Formats: sequence, structure tokens, C-alpha cells
Amino acid sequence: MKNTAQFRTLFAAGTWKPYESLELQGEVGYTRASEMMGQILFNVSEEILAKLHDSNYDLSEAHTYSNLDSKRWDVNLSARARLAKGIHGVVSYNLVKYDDVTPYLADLSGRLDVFQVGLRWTL
Amino acid sequence: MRPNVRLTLLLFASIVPAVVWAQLTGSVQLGGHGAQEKDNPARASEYATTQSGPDSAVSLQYTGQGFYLGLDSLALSSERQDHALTIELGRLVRSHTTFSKLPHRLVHDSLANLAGAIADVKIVYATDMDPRARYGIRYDQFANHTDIQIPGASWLTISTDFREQWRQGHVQALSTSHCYSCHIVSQSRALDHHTKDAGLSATVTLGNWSVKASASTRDAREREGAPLRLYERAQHPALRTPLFDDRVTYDERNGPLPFNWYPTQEKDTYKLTVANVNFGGFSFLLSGTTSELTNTHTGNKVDYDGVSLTLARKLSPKARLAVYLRTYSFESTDYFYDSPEPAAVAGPYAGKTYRQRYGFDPDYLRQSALDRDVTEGIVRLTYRLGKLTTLTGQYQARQVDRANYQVAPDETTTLEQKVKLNLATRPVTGLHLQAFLTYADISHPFMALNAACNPDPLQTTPAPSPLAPGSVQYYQIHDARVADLTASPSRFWEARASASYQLGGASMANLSVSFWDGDNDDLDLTNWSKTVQAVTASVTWQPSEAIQTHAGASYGKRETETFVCIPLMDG
Amino acid sequence: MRLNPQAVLLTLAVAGAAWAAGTPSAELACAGCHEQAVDGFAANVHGRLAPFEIPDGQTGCSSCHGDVIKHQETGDPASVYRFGRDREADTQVCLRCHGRGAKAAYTATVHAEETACSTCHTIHTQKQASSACSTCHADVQAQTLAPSHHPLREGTMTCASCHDVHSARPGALAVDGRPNDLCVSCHAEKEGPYIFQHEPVEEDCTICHQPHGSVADNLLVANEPFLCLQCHEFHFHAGLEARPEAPTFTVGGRQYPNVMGAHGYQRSFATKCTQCHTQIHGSDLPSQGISSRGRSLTR
Repeated sequence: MKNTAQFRTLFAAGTWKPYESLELQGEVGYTRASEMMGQILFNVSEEILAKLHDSNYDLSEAHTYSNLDSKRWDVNLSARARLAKGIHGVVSYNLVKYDDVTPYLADLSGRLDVFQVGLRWTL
Repeated sequence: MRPNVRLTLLLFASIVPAVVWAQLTGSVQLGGHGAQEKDNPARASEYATTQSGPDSAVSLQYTGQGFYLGLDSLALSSERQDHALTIELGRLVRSHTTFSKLPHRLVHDSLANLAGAIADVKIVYATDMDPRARYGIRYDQFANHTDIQIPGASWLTISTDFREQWRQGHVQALSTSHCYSCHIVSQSRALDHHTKDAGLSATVTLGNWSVKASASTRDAREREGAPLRLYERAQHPALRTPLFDDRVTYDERNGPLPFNWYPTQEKDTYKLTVANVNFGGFSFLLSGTTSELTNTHTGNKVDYDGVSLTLARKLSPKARLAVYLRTYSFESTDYFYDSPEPAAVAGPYAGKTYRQRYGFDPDYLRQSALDRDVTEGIVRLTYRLGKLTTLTGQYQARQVDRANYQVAPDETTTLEQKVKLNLATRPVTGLHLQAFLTYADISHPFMALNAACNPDPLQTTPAPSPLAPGSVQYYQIHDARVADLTASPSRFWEARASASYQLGGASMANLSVSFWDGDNDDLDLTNWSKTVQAVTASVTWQPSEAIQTHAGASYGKRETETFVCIPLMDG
Repeated sequence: MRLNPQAVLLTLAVAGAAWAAGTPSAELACAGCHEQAVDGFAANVHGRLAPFEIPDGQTGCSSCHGDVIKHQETGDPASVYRFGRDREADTQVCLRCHGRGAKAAYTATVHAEETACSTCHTIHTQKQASSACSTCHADVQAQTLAPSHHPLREGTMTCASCHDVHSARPGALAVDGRPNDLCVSCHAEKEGPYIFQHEPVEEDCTICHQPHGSVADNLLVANEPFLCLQCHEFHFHAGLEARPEAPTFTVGGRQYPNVMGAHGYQRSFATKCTQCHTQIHGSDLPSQGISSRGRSLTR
């Protein structure tokens, strides 16, 4: 029996300083991951099965029970601007989105959004 | 307040800020964040805080006359923090302290697959006592390392290490009661696991020689009690009568019993290290460690003794030799398992135990699978083929001689040998190429001996039944298994290559490719094989001072093939 | 004379700042030409070293670069040691101080063949996180992006949490004992020592776990039940089909919906082994069935 796991990741990030006092950053990541079992071959003869009280064996779908397939997006956007000498304003947005395409005993699909603001004082 | 006291305070209050201000560098960020989660947090917020509120990020360094204080602090919420504090007093005392908090959200198994019945006789079902519970642990850790070195005796450094880790939260605790039916119960289990490490060491340095002696102790314990389960009465699944009392070691008659329980652990470690960076042209490191680990509840102990030696020297302007040797052993206390042996209360064998009925002896002396003597070594020769090209050849071997666990009939020893080649070159300016090739041969790798497949699945009994004398018991099916199984290769190839090209300035392109192919055809009835391949490409492009970009992609695939067996039994 | 507190305050503030600023040193002379290197030096531990910590007692620029006075007088670059031209020689300079201890083994490591100390370490400025590992280990870095992973992408662990690139040990693992000791330093509850053992746990955690990241939960190298089936046969109930396919089944007089229908048994026994064998890392509590001699790791 064969088991196959695969994952693919794409990511991109960039920093842009359009002005001396402003810096913009962005990151995007995408991951697709999957795992699956191959068909289980149950090759016991009917003659043997006939001797069993419970002879109704069937593993034809068992390989599908533990399949995994998920997609994940990671996005981060941030900006830093100089407001005065030694003082910067910082803004960022962070997203994680997980899509459980083939749930395994629990649907793990979920999402987290975080928005952050701050003032940075550099001594 | 007396005037001189007031003046002293005034002086102090004036000097300190002035002094501090003059030498303080770094940054302070204060702000706030709003977090919003949706649906299941186990993946999207696995290690992230989901709490909204104020946050801060501080990085401050203060350097005074002989005094240094460095603070790096990130406080996102009550569950996600990282702090590091470095204090140096004239470099006589150098102390680094960290404290961190990290949430780890865990999956809540729905147990939705556990529902099945065959003719209302063989039944499996599950009960989730806390279906809406969210599981997760918070890892908190405090650690400190301090060096003390005195100018008059600078050859001596005294060091202390302290670490305390807490793993607190709630986890899903499952327990299974069987025979009458298979009933899996899920409970929310509070966890408060605490590990404390404390160590003291002394390092003596004389010329190029240094000798370090250290002692450390660990205490790991769980402060929450284990959950309890009333295991259901063992009954014959078809007849619903207590014919199976002799087949279980406990059930509801024993009252609620603990499960998912962690013992308290104590560990003492002593270590001696001798080093010399130039000992007759060799860099030299000799290290010996001995430790004793105790499960304080059962009294089980594990003794570890290990010695390692690392040597390296330049053989010629173009050649370098490196050698690593290590030997270590584990020795554990044996444990005699004296199984409870209840008697059947009904049926034709009422009053008899399972041993009396089937001749099965459940008692045994548990000898640890950990006990072993291991010897391993690496010999590596690096040769510089040109100014920018090196070729490295490496031979690596490891022999594991287990005391109590067989990896083939009457065989307890595994010998693993690896040959590696590595070529690294910079053929043109900006281009760096590396290629690795490994071949490994493992004789008698770790495996489960006689793990599967009964060649005569039905035995000879036409109608197995607990009521039928001589009927087939599951332990007999187990004992008759013949196929060896494993998840370890007896040989494998690994090839890796990477290239990086400096496109100019800070722009760069990278490509990495790896391939692993292993199999085990030394098994008696079956084969096992695995291939792993991965490719990663990335580009960093900086078209101007103001713009920097980075992009990449990676792909990985693992294929494993194994033989699968299922026992056939009326039971 | 009446003391003016404000004047005292101002005077002391200025005096304190002057005192704290320290006296000029040889580094100030170097800063004339090498401003960038010297500016951040105080924030780096090298800038704070005391003479008694160093074999020849020489601190500051001279400690690594040699006779800077002669260099200042002549301006000849050859009169000081310049880094970046001979990696092995550069390493030896660092090892004069850092080789007094376990880092003496660094020249015996694979990393020393291709990596200079300054590839990962900042010598002149404040310590900064380095991502130099991914240059050669891009395949490993990619694994850390898998669904199940240690918190590396979240920044709370680094490669150095488990690896010591200065060590010649196989895998450059940051542990004196065997690899498992590294895992149990954070996962102590897995170590026992337990009465009822799962032998691969005693053998090597990486038989079942891929610490760099995996598709399956809990860093498993493959999802259950396949992971387990490599070394074990199926449970003997795993293939049985439920018959007749009744809409409900009865336990203790109570009816339960037969939601899985004919596949209830296969689903129950061929989906996840650790729903029952929960204590897969070992236990001191015996399992229920007598015929397993307490070793089923269910409790």
C-alpha cells in the first residue's frame, strides 16, 4: 500500500520606500498540502472467508478515511512612517486563513485577522 | 525629611537619569492591536495570540562605566510574550535572562468516526464530555545563564544555569473501555506540567586548555491530577453476560481509575569537557557525561554514560581532517509486571482465571528496549581542489547493540554505515554551487519482529467462542504472527544540490533540489520503501535602494510503500 | 550659601552625562576612517569585553585586527589583520577566545568548511537574527511551512533551538546525549521512563516524527493509520462491514444513530489508532485487556 504526501508553497515579499520617511512592506504566502493513502488490496480467498462467522470484510474505502488536504494563506502588510525626529508610526495587518479542504476528524478551517497600530520612539 | 537626606536623594535622582540618558540607546514601541478569529483556531492561530489589547516592543541598551544592561521585550498579550534581559557588572558578572510565553492551540478530535455496530452485538461508540472545549497549552519559560569571572583569577569562570518551563492548559484526554462495547470517552484534562533545570559549572582555562565541569539537576512533574474513568463492566458482547470478567484487569468494580497520567521525573547529570583549540595542531574536544533519570513513582531508573572525542587538523595547505567518535550506553532497571488476574464469575469457567482457563501467563519481567551500547564515528577529509572549490568525503558509522530488543531473529545489533561526498565550488564570480551525495547501508535496522500476518488465520477451530473449549484466543493470533515490519530503510541514497547566484548588489537567485530514495528488502515476507523529493527556488531582487523584493516557490513529495496485513478472527 | 536645587540638578546632569560617556579610547581613532564599524561596536559584546577575558588582554579593535597603532601611523592596510580573505584564518582568530570550550570543535564541523563566523554573527554591531541556514538548507526551510510545524515561521523558535552549528555531532544537534534528549527537554512528559514502552519511542523520536514540519498533525512523518501500519497489522475489527445496516444500534438499552452505516466499523478502526492507543509514548498504567499483558498503551 502506498502513501503520498505533497506540499507546495509560493511566497512573495517586498519592501518599498517611496520617501525617506515612509516604508511599506508586504508578504504573501500560500501553502497547499495533501496526503493520501493508496487503495488497500484485500486478497483473502472466499474459501477462507466462508469459514468465518463474520466474513463481510471490506476495506475498499478505508484508504480514504485519513486523507488530508489543506490550503493556507499568510498575508502581512505593514507601513512605517516617520512622524517626527525619532518618532515613527507603525501600522500592520496580518491574516492567516486556513482552509481544511478534506477534514480529518475535525474541520480545522479557520481565520485570524490582526490589525496593529503603534508609535515607535527611537532614542 | 532631614535636609541632607533630601539632598542625597536629589543628587541620586539627578545623576541616575542623567547618566542613564547619556548612554541609553534603542527604541520603544507602544501601541495596540485588535485580533479577530473565526471558526477553528487550531491551525490559523496555532501559535498566535487571539487576544486584543495594548502591546509593546522595547529594545534598550544602556552602557555605563563597566555596566551594561540590554533589554529586548515583546509583549503582545498575556499569552504571547518574549523578554530578554542582559546585565553585565564590569564583565565580572554576565547574566542573561529570558522569559517567554507561547500559546499552542491543539486539535479537538470530534471522534465522529467512532460509531458502528454489527447486529447490535459488536459495538463501538464515543462520548465527548466536552464537545465545545477548545484545547491548547501555553508554554511559559524562564531561563537564566550567569557567568562570574574575576580579574585576579580570570582562569576560572563559574557559571549557573536555571530554567523553568510550564506547560499549562487543557488537552483532550481519551480513554477506552472495551469488551461489552468499545466505548471511547473524551474529557477535557487540565494540564500543569512543570520542568525545572538547575546547573552549576566551573571552567578552568590555562593557555589553550580549558576544562569545564558541570552538574545539573532536573525535576519534571505534573501538578494536576490525572482524570478518572469508570471503566465499564466486561461482558460478552453477544450474550451481554459477565463471561469476560477474567479477560480484563480492571472494570467498574474497581471504581474510577486514573488514566492519561504523567509521572514525576528527576534527572541528575554530570559532565566534564576538556578542550584545546591547538593541541599539537589539532583542535581537540573530549567530553564525558553521566546521568541518572528516575521515575519517582515507579522507582524506574535509567543510567546514561557517554564519552565523545572531536579532533580536527590541517594535514596540508589543501587538506583538512576531522574525526568525531562517541560511545554511550543506557541501562535501566527491570520491572516485574504482576498482572491482576480476576476470575470469571459466570459461565462454564466460573471461578477460574484466564491463566487457569487458557494457560496464559500475563506476568512478565519488563526489560527496557532503551538499554543499549552505542558506538558511532565520523571521519571527514576535505580537500581544496582549487582556490574556490572543495571536495569533502565522509565516512560515518554507528553500531547500536541493544540489550533486550531484537531487530532480527536472535539479532540485537544494528550497524549503519554512510558514505558522503560534498562538492562546493564558485566557478564564476557570484555563483556558488554545492552538491551532496550520500549512500547508506544499514544492517538490521530497527524493526518490529513478527509484527503481522498469521499464515493460518483460522487456526483449526471451526466455531471460536468463549464458551467453546479450545477456541482461538486473540493472544494466540498475536503469537502466531510471522511477518517482520519496519519504517526504517536498510539502504538509502540521498542527493542534494543547491545553487545561488549573485545577480549584482543585493539581488540573488537560489535553487535547491533534493532527492532521497530508501528501501528495506531485508524483511522476511515484505518490502518497505520511501522516496522524498523537494525543490525550492527563490529570487531576491533589489532594483533600487528603495525597492527590495523576494519571491519563491517550493514543492515537496514523499511516497512510502509498505505491506499491510489484517488479522481475521471471530471475536 | 543657599543651595539652588535647579542649578545642582543641571550641573549634576551634565557632569553625569560626561562621566558616563567615558574616556576616549583607541577605537575613537579608528572611527576616523571606519566610522560605520566603530559606531555600533558598543552595542556588540565585543565592544564591552574586559582585558581579563581575553588571552593577551588586548581589547577593542586590536583584539582581532592586531597592531592598529601601526596601521594608524602608516595607513598601510597590510599592517592589520583584515577579515574576509581567508575563511580558515578568520575562524582561527575567533577561536583564540571562543575555542576555549566546546566551540573548539568548530573546525571539525561541516559548517566550518564553507561558512565563516561572520556569515551568521555580527561582530561590530548589535546582535541580529540570521537566516543564513536557508542558503544551504532551503529544503528544510520549506518544510517549516508545512501545516504541522514547530513555531519557526512564527519566530519563537530558530534553527539554533535544536541545532548547534559549532558541534561536530551527527546532525549538528544541540544535545550532549542522544537525539531524543533534545526532544524531551521541552516534551519531558514523553520521557518516562515508563513501565509499558513503545519501542520506537525508546529508539528514536524521528521514526514517527518529522521535526522540521509535516502534512500530518503532530509532526508525524505520515498520517495515521498509515504511520502505524508500517510496523503493525490492522486491528482485527478494522475490515468488518456492519450488517445489517440498521439506522440505529443499541447499547445498554439506549439507542444510538448509526451515522456511518455499513462502514461504521471500518471508520472506527481504520481511521486513527491513537483514539484508543492514546499513551503512544509510554505509560505506567496497564491497559485493560489481560491478553496484552497491560502493554496496549490505552491508559
